[in-house]
Parts: sequence; C-alpha cells; structure tokens
Amino acid sequence: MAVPITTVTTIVEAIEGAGPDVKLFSLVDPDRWELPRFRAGAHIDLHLPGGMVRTYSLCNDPADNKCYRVAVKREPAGRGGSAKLHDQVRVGDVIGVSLPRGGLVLDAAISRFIFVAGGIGITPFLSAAALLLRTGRPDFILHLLARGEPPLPRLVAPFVQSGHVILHDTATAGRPDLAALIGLPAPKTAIGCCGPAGMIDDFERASRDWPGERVHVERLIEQVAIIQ
Amino acid sequence: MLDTIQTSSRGAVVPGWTGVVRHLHVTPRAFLPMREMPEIKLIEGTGIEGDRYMIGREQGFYSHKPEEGRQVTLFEFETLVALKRDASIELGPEEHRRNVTVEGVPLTHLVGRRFWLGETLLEATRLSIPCRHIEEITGKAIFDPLINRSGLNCKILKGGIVRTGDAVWNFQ
Repeated sequence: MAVPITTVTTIVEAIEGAGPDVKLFSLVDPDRWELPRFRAGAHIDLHLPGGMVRTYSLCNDPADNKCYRVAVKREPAGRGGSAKLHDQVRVGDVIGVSLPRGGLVLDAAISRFIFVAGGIGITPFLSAAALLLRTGRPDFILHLLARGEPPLPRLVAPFVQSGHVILHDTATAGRPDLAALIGLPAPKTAIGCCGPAGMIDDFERASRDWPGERVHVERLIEQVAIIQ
Repeated sequence: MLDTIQTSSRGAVVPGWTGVVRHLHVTPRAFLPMREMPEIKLIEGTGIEGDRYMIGREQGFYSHKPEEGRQVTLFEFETLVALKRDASIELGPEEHRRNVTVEGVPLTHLVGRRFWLGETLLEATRLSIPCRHIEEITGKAIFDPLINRSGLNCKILKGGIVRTGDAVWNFQ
C-alpha cells in the first residue's frame, strides 16, 4: 500500500554559488507544474536525507510560481543542515518540502517600507523587494549589514544600482545605529528586520516606539527563522 | 436547473435535471495547485489522465487509502456562489480540489446513481467529505461551510473526453 504523502515533492533544478559560503538552491516540481503559492519571504521546511528538517526563507518573487528558491549559508559549527545541503545535495536530487507558511504582510495601506537585514537574513526581503517593484510600490529601502562581501551579490546588485539596497560593511565600519536607520515612527510606514540574535535585540530596542503591527522581525538561528 | 420533480422507482424524490460542465481541473501530485483544463480524458475504471488519483499513479494526498470512487470528483458551482453569499468566502473553482465543477446538477441526490458527464458515464459512490487538507492549502476557513456540500466521488463506467460546456444528465 502507498504511504501517505506529507510533503511537496521537488527536485533540485540548480545550485549556484552565491557569495561567501552561500549556495542558492532552486527547487521545482518534477514536471515543472506550479508549486503551492507563497507570501513574500515565506518559509518552507526542507526534508533532507537522514530525516533532517530545516527551515529556510524563500527569496524569490511570489509571482515566480514554478520555483522555490532558498539561499543557504554554510555554518560549520551548526547542526548539520547547511553542511548537508552544501556538501551532499546535488542537482536532480529529490527533496520534500512543506507548504510555505508565514512571510511578510505587505499591507496595501503601507506606502513605505524600511528593511534591515543581517547577512543571509536578506533572503525574505529580496522576495519582498521583487514583489514591491513588480507591483509598482518602489518606496522601500533595504539596509544590508554584512561583514565584508555581502551574500547573494548577483541578486542584490540590481537593487544596489536602483538605490533600494544600501550596503553596510560591518568589518570596516562596525554595526550602524539601527535607530538611525529606521528613524521615528512615521505614518503608512512599516519596518522589518531579519538577522542574528544580537542584531534583532538591537532592532527591537530601536523600534519599541513603533506600532507592533507595523514591525516584522525574524530571528536567525542557524538559518532557522523564528517568526515573532 | 431544477425543472421538474420525479419520483423514482425506489421511492426517493429525484429531481429531473440537466446541468453543464463549468470548469475542469487536474493536478499531478498532492499539494500542487489544480490547473484548469479545456478538456480532460476519463479512462474507464481508472481515473483522469494525468491526475493524482488515477489508479496506478497514486500521487494524491489520500492515495494511501485506495477508493474506486475517487476516479473523478465533482463539485457544485452553486456552492461557490453560496459560500460567497452566505459566508463571504471567495472560493475559486481551482481551490476546492475536485476535478469537475458543474452547474445545475443536484450532486447530493446522485449517490448510487449513474449519470452522463458529456460522453462519459459515471456512477456516484459517495458524497465527498470536507477535509482540513483543503484549509491547509487554501488558507481559508472552509471546512465547516463545506459540510454536506463538498462534492461527489464517482467511478468511471465509460471513458471519453469531457469538455467545459458539456451537458450533464441522468442515465435513465
């Protein structure tokens, strides 16, 4: 008897290097059928060989409905998920994934967005940026804090060129003042942050005067995003 | 269209009716979106070509619970209208995850009966039951509103091509 199907079946269509210790995985249906819809920056669980399950943010435009794209930074001191993806997963491998969940609510009543990302934490905001530009809502800024070369340079470059992404090299200038980046609460403005715990703590302090419904925070724990 | 009322030989009240195929959908695997098709091919005793529940394919969410009547499933267009009218729920014909959306066909009266779907002949085996799986996929709270109107499971007695716009009518 067949066993219950509990995940979306995908195959790895492409794996590309995407900056220091980062690989970009493109997952598609075996017949290139449309995949279940997702919200900008939604999360999926990847069911890896050996029963390991890891959660990653989708970084592509939700309109790209035939592909799930996740960027994975190799964490040598992590719990093994990123190492397995980097070292063992190959193009053509089959990976079961969960239905997408969560993601950014880009409310139509909001006209301006300020995002702050730490390193690989840029992934959900790349998805949001693509959606915002495609839907004619170009009033957003994404501050990318990275030590040295930023992740996903090919995907980030067009946004740097258009002025939507501002790079902050923390190796040379230290971490910028997050309160200065997001400013004071402003009407029709929402803010978001995704990055390591220390950065999120700073962001939460800096944003405590903002209305909670206009603040989106994701905390990276070995790339396991915890939605708050 | 419910145009007359007849009494069947079994004593049950059976409306006389003719209906129409409004939408056709298939998907090859569990969880994937349903794709609208201008026509589908029904294979006798097996299922719909390319659909996840075709016998021998077994790629559906419930394929581990084999069922003859899952060869093709139908849903009432009127239910989509009622959901919007009564519960303010917009549910598209691609979201209920049945294969054939029909209008003017009293599905709940057809269990145990045979009827024509275009050039194909179906036998209804049971009413479909709403499931949380649909809520999980659509993100819409439709379990309760779909109780008793979640469609009809059928087996295929005579195969063929079904197209949107085809007529649906009683076998007898």
